[in-house]
Amino acid sequence: MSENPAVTFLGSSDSDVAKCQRCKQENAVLITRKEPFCKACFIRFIRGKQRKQMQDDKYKVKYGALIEKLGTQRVLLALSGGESSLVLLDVMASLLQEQYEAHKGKQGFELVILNLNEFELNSLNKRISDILPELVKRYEPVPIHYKVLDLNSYILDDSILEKIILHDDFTGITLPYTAQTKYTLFDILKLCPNKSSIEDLLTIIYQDLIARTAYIEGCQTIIYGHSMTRIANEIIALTVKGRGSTIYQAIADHTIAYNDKELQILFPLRDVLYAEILAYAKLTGLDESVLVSTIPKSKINKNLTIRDLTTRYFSQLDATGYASTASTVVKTGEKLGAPKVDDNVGTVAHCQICGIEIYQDPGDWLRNITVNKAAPVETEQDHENLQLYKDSVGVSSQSTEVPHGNPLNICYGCIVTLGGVKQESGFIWPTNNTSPIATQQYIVDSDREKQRVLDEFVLTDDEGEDEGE
Amino acid sequence: MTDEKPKRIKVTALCELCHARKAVMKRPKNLQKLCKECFYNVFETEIHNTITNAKLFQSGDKVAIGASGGKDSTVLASVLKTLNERYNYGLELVLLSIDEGIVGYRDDSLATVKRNQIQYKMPLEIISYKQLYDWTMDEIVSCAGIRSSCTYCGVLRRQALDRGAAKLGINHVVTGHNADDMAETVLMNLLRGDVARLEKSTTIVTQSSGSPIKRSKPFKYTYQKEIVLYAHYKKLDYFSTECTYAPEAFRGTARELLKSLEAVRPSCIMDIIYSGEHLVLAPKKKKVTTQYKNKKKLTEQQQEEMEINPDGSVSLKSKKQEFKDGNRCEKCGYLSSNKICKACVLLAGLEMNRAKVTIDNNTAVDGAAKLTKTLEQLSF
Repeated sequence: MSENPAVTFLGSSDSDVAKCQRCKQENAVLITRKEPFCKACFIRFIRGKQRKQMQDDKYKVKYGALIEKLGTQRVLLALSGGESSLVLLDVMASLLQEQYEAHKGKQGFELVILNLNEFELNSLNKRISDILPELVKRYEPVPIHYKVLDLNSYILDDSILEKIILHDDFTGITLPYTAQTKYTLFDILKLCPNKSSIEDLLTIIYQDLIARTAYIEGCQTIIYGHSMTRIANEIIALTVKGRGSTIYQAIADHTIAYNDKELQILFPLRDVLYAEILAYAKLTGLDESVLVSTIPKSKINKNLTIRDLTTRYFSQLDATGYASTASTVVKTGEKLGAPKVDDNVGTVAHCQICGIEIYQDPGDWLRNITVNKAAPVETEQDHENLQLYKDSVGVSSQSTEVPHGNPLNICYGCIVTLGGVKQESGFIWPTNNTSPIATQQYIVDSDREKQRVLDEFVLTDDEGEDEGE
Repeated sequence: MTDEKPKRIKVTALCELCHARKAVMKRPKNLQKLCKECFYNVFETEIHNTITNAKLFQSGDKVAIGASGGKDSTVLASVLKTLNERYNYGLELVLLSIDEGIVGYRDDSLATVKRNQIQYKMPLEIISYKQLYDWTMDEIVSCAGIRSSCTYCGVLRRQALDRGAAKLGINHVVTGHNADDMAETVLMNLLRGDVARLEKSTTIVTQSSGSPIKRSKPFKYTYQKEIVLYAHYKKLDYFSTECTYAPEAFRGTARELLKSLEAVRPSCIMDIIYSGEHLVLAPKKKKVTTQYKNKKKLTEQQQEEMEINPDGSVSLKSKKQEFKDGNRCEKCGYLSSNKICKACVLLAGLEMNRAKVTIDNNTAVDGAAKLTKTLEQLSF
């Protein structure tokens, strides 16, 4: 079946045949990119991929005038607990360790790990808070900060929530949401018509939460553990979701503006295949810390999400000898640029759901190719049926008059995401979620842990008073 | 839910658009429950919108419908005839068929086209590979093997359609490519890294500047499944067997992916086309690498050197320039981006391997289709 898998592990039987081609001393443990590697050289090889992506001076140990010019650099690592992000953590921590040794305890940057707590959402097999302290210990004496954030903190407060109604003609309105009860993120997700929609919205939420945390924590850089395979998957998934116009940004190393700050987003493992990440995790023993969802993936296509399907597609390609497809797709995606602005729209609007630029009125496009007009009613019996229908509607609901609200700016992708949300209930969403905030509550915060100990045991000047909360 | 009078159709069983007739189908595009009449209405109106928005036709145009006898082109002929009459396009419609020479497949489908000719009262022109290139597909496959059959067939058919249209004095060929085909092409271009085609892949009209013949796809936004339903309810006469020469393996994986995606989210075919229409290549960054060392002046002899591509074609001189439309093949005069067009290169390759001696009544060249058909007719 697998004629040409991306990574082949060598058994002990054939190891005497193949020597590692890098060091020419150790026996090779695996073959990747047609080259046999020993464990040490393979790990070095993968780390080299990250080093190459983050060569900028700001990540190096700085001396003299450069310190003032670049300031303290903080890097936020988005850690889901999957293989890729754990490997990225290991790679980044190894860089810090190297710097620590070579520069007598100095560091080029501070590493902050952010985990968005998916324990409930995905029924994970273990809690990240149980793993993180152990993980961080691996890299001592290098200090690594970690924070765990509740997904619900996406909704800052109920005042920014609005009710969204999408009409049949693909236009939408927003109405003020008059909250009686506290609305949680899970309540919002329950309004989604299907799993793929939930997935789309979670992507928007994660990106925003990560950017917001970077802003609050004073990080200038955000790094993701995306492998080349994952980025290729992203390109295809975005295309399938009607969000093709954002590919050029989403998969490139780019900067985003968050309030008054610029945040740089990097994918340091973009040259590493997913199969190589798995091999790295296995060789370093990181695979034991991986968080796995306990919800089994369905065998039935219909129960999967779009990302599930594209992910499966790429893993099948890997197994059937088309492994090079991932790199082709990524290279193609990297050649894309920003779409031209439609003259009718004039200026670029922003989607009020996901925040991306809208280049062309998606409603216009859809109305032309999705007609919702009935054929004329002719026979007497048909008229009778129509009357019956009108009567039944008149009785069951009186929502014939359309409520007036503000027109909604919505991109094509979000129209698709929200398609199928029930008209009556509408959809609830924080449409204005970028108000600057100074702090946020974490579930776990390594800095706070230390502070708690200090607060509790260090005596202050006026030690008689109880200041603790 | 609410059925006070359960005597006839339940209110919930009514069509979601007219609320007057019984719904008979779920619309594949958005899963709306529709009656036949409303389905015809939306189906035809959407195609009409596509045609008028892209300004495909002008009154008095003579248009050739690339007709294979399959569902897409049969429905295309039927719908164009309907719309032409309903909205007074003022078109003169002609059926144009290509006979690739696949025994047991194309001969049967051509019989369907001949029936369509009578049903729709349209003139029919059949162009065969045999008369144009002196090769049938069956012969090509027996000579070059089954794996590359689609490459040959695709290249040759493109030219055959153009030549057929030219022969009829027509400068516009419409084909039955549907939304599924478009979406598949967008995915394939990404998966294969076909940067040159990435931007153009979703355009509805394609035309080379030097060619008088343009092609267009009025079904660009029409779901394949809706075409099937339309043909079914309208009881259209079409031929529904797939070509027996296997499609390319890699394309098969993309098709499979698209199928499962559509099951999860029916709109995804439109979504992919929408994405495809917004894929734009970034302006090329100019890499200036000045060569200092080993810089030699080109001698005259070197300037006369020709670059021969791996497939045997010869690139045009102006190598640095972008692909330019309007070049002609030196051999047959057809449009080509190389000195010799792709069809001529392929044919020349075939000619070299053609069997010098043939056996009388040799049936070995007849393809798999013939064999299947013979087997089907066997009885015990």
